[in-house]
Amino acid sequence: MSWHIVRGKQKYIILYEDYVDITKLVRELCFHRSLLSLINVGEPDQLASILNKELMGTYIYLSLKVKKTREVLSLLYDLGFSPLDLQVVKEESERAIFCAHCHTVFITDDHPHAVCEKCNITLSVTNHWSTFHHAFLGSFEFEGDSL
Amino acid sequence: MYSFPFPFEEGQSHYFYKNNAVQMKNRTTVQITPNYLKEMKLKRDTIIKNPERCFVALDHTYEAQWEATLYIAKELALRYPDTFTMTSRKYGFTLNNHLLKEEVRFDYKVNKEPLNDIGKHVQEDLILMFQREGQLFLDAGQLCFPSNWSLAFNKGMAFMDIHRPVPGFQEGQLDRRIERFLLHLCPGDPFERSNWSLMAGETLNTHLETFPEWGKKRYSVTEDTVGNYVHVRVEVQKLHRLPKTYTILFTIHTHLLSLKELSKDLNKANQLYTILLSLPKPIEEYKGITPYKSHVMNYLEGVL
Ligand code: HEM
Repeated sequence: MSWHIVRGKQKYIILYEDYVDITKLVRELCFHRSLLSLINVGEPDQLASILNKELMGTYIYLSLKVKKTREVLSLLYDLGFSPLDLQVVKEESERAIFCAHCHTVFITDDHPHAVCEKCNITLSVTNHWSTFHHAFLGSFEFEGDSL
Repeated sequence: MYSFPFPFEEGQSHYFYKNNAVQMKNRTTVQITPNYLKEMKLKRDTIIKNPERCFVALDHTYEAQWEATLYIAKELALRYPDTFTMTSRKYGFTLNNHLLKEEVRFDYKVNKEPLNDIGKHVQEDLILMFQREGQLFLDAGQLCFPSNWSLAFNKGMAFMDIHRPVPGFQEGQLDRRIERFLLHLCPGDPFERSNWSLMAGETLNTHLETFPEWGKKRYSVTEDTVGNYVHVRVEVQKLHRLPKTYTILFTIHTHLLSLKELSKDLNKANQLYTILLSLPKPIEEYKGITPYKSHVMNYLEGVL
């Protein structure tokens, strides 16, 4: 798992799921003496009402499985949080891919090629990362033979 | 009089990256060219078929969209009075487009996507960059004629992240320097630059989403077709700081000219030839020229 510490925020929240280990992140944030809340993500409705009360200057780490990350991200954007207010703690074994053809974001394992689960196109996974979609661009093969 | 915007500086004989944005003399955002009707039809057809590829806007962008809409409409009416007239009302205006024979109402908050609406009257792609915490984010835009990129993917992304795939763009912190330049852009002091590439075919709406359809043309260029088929593709890009919302309006006007037409001017053909000779391989590949570059070089050698 990887993350970076963003300093100088009034408060930090870690949104987590039961089976994701967040101890290292918690330890590091405590080391920086930050005001910290841990929220176990359950029903998105409850989550919305909890997060709605948060003040400006709150910074959120999402330490969730990729699928849950997507649900929670769209909720956060709806609530007015921007990509600058949050960070996805990346899991090394799973990756979210944005399909260049149909815009579906889907989850695959760590492999240079992926087949879009919606339009079935084979994509080559680029290292172009979107801080908004929290996904890598899955693009087309640029070799003549594969066209 | 329309003339193709040849992208190279006088005397330039090799390829290099730099911040090539220059202060704009005529302070315009858009330009009407003889292709207007043809391109407006293509633009509108493209939007109807695939709206999600052509327009994005995050919720907070409405005021800036409206400001950009007014900015462009006023310019159209002022610079092209025979073609556009604008009648103001308390909460909006009516635009008469005499070329398209249309009368369109723009009403504040009634038009839900004003940038998308005004974009249907200009040949340019229109992008709005929002400044937050020392960065610029692409939070709204209309994009119908992109050079192989996806607006949907780039939505909400920062300037530096958008440019991550451009080879060499981070060298010597060029990306940071360009970003700094953009952050200091002032209202009333617009800049412009051009971007160039070559393309096989004459397709303006080359979205990344449809790469398999148009990208394969790169492999069908032959010795016989290269002159008419390969085009120099130039994007004239203009950068305006909007005074009220402090958003940057980034307009992109894409122009195409076949190699054959360009080669009528031997100086220009020669300059293109020497610049192509010096083009670093990663950039040649990024621009998608590699599959047919040898045909282009042979063609230009033949002409010169
Ligand atoms: C502020 C608004 C701007 C936006 C939204 C923007 C967007 C983009 C995008 C989406 C690409 C294609 C990236 C890809 O392949 O995925 C690109 C390419 C590029 N941009 Fe920008 N850009 C902006 C301003 C600038 C400025 C001011 C410069 C330089 C002074 C610049 C230099 C370039 C260059 C050199 C390329 C590569 C083009 C090529 O070699 O064909 N951009 N830009």
